[in-house]
Amino acid sequence: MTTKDHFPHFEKVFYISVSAVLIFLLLGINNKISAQQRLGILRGFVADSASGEVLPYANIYIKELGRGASTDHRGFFIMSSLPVEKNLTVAVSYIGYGTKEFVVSVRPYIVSDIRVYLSQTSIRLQTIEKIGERIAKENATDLSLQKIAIRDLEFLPKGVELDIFRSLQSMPGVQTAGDVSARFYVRGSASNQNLVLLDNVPIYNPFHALGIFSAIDPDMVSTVEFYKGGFPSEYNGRLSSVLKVVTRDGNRNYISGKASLSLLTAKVLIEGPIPSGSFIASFRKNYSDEILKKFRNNNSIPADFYDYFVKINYANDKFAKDAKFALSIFKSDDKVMNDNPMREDFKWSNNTININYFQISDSPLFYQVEIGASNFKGERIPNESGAKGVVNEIKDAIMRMDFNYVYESKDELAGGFKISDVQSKLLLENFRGQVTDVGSHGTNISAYVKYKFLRYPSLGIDFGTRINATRLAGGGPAYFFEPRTSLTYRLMPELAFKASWGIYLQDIVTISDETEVVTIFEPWLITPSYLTPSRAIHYVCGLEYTPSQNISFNLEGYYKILHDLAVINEKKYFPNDPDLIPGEGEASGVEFQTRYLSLPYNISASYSLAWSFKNIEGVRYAPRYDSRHTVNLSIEYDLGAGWTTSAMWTYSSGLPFTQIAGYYEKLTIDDLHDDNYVLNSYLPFTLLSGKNIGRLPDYHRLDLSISKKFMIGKLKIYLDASALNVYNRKNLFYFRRDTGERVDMLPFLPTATLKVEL
Amino acid sequence: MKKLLLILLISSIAISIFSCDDSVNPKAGFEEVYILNCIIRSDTSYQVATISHSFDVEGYDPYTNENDPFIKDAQIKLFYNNSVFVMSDSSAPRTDNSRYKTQQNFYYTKSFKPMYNRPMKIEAVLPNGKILTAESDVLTLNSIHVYSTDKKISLNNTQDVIGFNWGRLNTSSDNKGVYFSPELVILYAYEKNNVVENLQKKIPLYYINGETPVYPQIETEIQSCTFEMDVVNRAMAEISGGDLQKGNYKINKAVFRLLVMDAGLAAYYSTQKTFLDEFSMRVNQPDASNIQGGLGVFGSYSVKQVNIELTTDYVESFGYQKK
Repeated sequence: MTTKDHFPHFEKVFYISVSAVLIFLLLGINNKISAQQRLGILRGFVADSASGEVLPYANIYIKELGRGASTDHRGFFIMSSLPVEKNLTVAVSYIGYGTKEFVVSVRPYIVSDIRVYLSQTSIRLQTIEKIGERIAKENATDLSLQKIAIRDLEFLPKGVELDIFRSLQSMPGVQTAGDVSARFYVRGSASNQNLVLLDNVPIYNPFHALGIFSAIDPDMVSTVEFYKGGFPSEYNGRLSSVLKVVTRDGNRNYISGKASLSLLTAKVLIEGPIPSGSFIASFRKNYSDEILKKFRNNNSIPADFYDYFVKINYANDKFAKDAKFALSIFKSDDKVMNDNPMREDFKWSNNTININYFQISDSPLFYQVEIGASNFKGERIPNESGAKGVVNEIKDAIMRMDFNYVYESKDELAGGFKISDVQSKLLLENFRGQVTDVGSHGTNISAYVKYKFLRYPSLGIDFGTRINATRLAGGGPAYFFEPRTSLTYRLMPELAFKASWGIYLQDIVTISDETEVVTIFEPWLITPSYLTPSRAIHYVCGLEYTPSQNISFNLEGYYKILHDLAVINEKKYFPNDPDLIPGEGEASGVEFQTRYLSLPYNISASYSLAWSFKNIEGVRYAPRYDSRHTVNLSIEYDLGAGWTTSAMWTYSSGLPFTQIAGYYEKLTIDDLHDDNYVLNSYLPFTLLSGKNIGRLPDYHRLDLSISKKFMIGKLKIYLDASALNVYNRKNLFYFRRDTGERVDMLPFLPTATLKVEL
Repeated sequence: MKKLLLILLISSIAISIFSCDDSVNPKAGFEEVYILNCIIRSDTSYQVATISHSFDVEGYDPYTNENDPFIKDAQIKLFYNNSVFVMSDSSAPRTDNSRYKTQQNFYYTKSFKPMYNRPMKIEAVLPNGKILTAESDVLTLNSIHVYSTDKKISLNNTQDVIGFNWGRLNTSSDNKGVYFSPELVILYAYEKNNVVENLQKKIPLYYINGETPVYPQIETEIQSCTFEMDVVNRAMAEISGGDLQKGNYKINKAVFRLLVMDAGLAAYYSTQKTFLDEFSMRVNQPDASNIQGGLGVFGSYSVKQVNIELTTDYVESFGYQKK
């Protein structure tokens, strides 16, 4: 089946997309020429005054104009179409920091630069900041996007320790398979359809300890941008969502460090200045599996893991004016070594490296060039268990260039290209001991262009496409277009309508066995040449209602179609049968979220109603992560004097599973040459009902937390005590078919974390 | 603050009281399913079939079932070459009485020996009127050609390999496929203290890295099979392993067997031979069935075999005796 078969109007859509981008480009350029005489551009950088660390998503508000902006993850912002040679009062604010106000006068023809350093304060968000934030978002095309500064997560119940992936699971549309896995499922899609980027480099298996925790230490993280769908054309290679993790630069002003101890891990972090730059290095290691046992019915999990991260930043105007260089290295390593030759062992590791060159030009242009690599290696060592060995390795070498240009009309043009060279190795051993490598090699060369139509305060349109010149592998045409668009229209100051649409391609997949209750690691594989790469179409729309500065409501609906999903061929009877076959998928849902922030309260509530289906060889069923109703409630209360308390309650309706419909005597043929096997050779066999027709009981859990921050001399001490599953809900993980024994998830569990910062 | 804590406390207590631990039933409603098994052999006119029904047990251990699920009083007909063969109802003692104390119910015919590559059909009408049907192909093979040897392996053998090939079958329905399962075995006896045990040693095609044996698989496209003489020699040596009393081993001959199966039987057989690539741990065992209206298997196979003589000098070169 070709792309045309799936998208009968594909060519038309593509030509319309390209034409529209060109029209917008022309409009923007014309506007620039006419506006240059009257308007100017203000560009700024916002950072912490003590550490010099950038402050992402800080609010900028120009009082006289009633206009706002916010910094990006690098701490930069640009405001164009400003009246020149006029005194403008600029207020810069950030949660937890004192607001700064100053007067600027923008000059014509050149970009006016400012640098703002904010100081931390105990006073939380104030009125002016909220206004700035709301105005900055007026026409932002940010449907389905959650921007999270890591400090926003610190006050919520952490579980055993703060975990970015687990924090995502409190968002509507994000589903989990339970307490025992940090693996997440977004809007009815499998977890391998989520792109996890660490400093723009993909991490293929970002989990520790059998998937219970994420491999990314939150202490090294600055911001997280999470697209639940409808993501723009700068991202590619996955069908469902993008989780972009941006790391910190480190303290630019003085050497500082942190040490923390939870019931699971011990970790240290050190950061400080270097000539013309800064560095940050963190190391984390588990020291006990006692806490892990609680996740698995008190069964021992002999997991041993560590991760480290190092980043060096360098910016010297003498070397390269207005440029910044960064080198980041990350490694996570896991071992599950059973001290029992009759059980298999597991090892897996992720290694990433990235070199980033970021340049600001004299015009309102940013661009960056990156060279990076990601290496994942996983191994199942069978020992004497009878299981078969698996060795999986993915080597992904990436080069990318991105630019962003801001017109004086406030419109923006972004574009870039990416080359990704992927080498996959997957050694499988069959029951006859034969080892085969089903890995392959491929190169994806793609470019994208995106025009952001932002000239009217009440309207924002983001229109672009990604063009794949070559693909990693798979059948179908060698090239592929991925047009995408997003729109925001503010019907009134308090109410905005948003919509997005896009086509997405994925030609690297995991071999995910849906019948598997515990996924140790999912082997990655370039889509085999006998399959067409998976594709998805997203339709998303929503309303954002902000009746006052303290409260907001968001309503989003989505519909997603998935084609040619690579799934395990459960009817592979013969060696020449394909390992993977194509399947179809469909997901739809409605998500509602409200937030109320009025000191000392910070309350959020969300509800999602979702449906997800797969259709494999004519059998339509709900995948194991299909939960119809999900509710998340969180309350944070600032007690003052460094004390904060919070509560989080999560409810999720039961996940699907396949029930037993009875048993029967199955004819077992050990050897066809034997006589009388039809009479004598029978063994009981389980008769299963329809696939995933049963539903597990509903899941719900209440977590409570209390934190205290205080000083001893120069040491900042953070104490956090949490109680997980306060009312000891017995949430079912699975049951054993052979015994009927139920295996429950996390019981009531008190935990504590101590962090010391110098 | 006190108010907040009070609210949380009350909420927790309320939730814990009202959220009694939901029990989940791993079992859905019992499904009555019927299972028909009939595998036609082309080397005999005596064919058997069984029919059983699904059952349920208290708990989750199916071995606790003591109610014989095998059904009698059904009518089974075989349709082949414009003829109808009716199978008779019968029973026989079980070889294993640990679970069911009754005799084994089965159906048989003594007059069905398929000779030609033609389609056939089975129809079983159960006492309750339920009908199970299935179709298959009779597959017969005329001859197997042995090349690179004169059906003899001797000490002076100069060939590097011993090979076998065979022709394709002209079946009435090509799309159903024909599957071949070849194997080469050495038949021998182990005799000690006047006790004789007849055994066979299966010969692999080759070894991976000199260690892991690779045996022929069930395939549809193959028409030949070749074994390296080094591997045959290694298999001969492995018969006694580290046993120094090599005289206790009496070697008879080597036999090349070729099983020819239709697709339905091949798929069923393959799920039990577990040759597949194993991606990960699975909860469900693989299963295959070609019975319309139920489960089980209806298929046919034929066997051709070629005897390969192992000469006395060859056998004795390993320290064994020639049988």
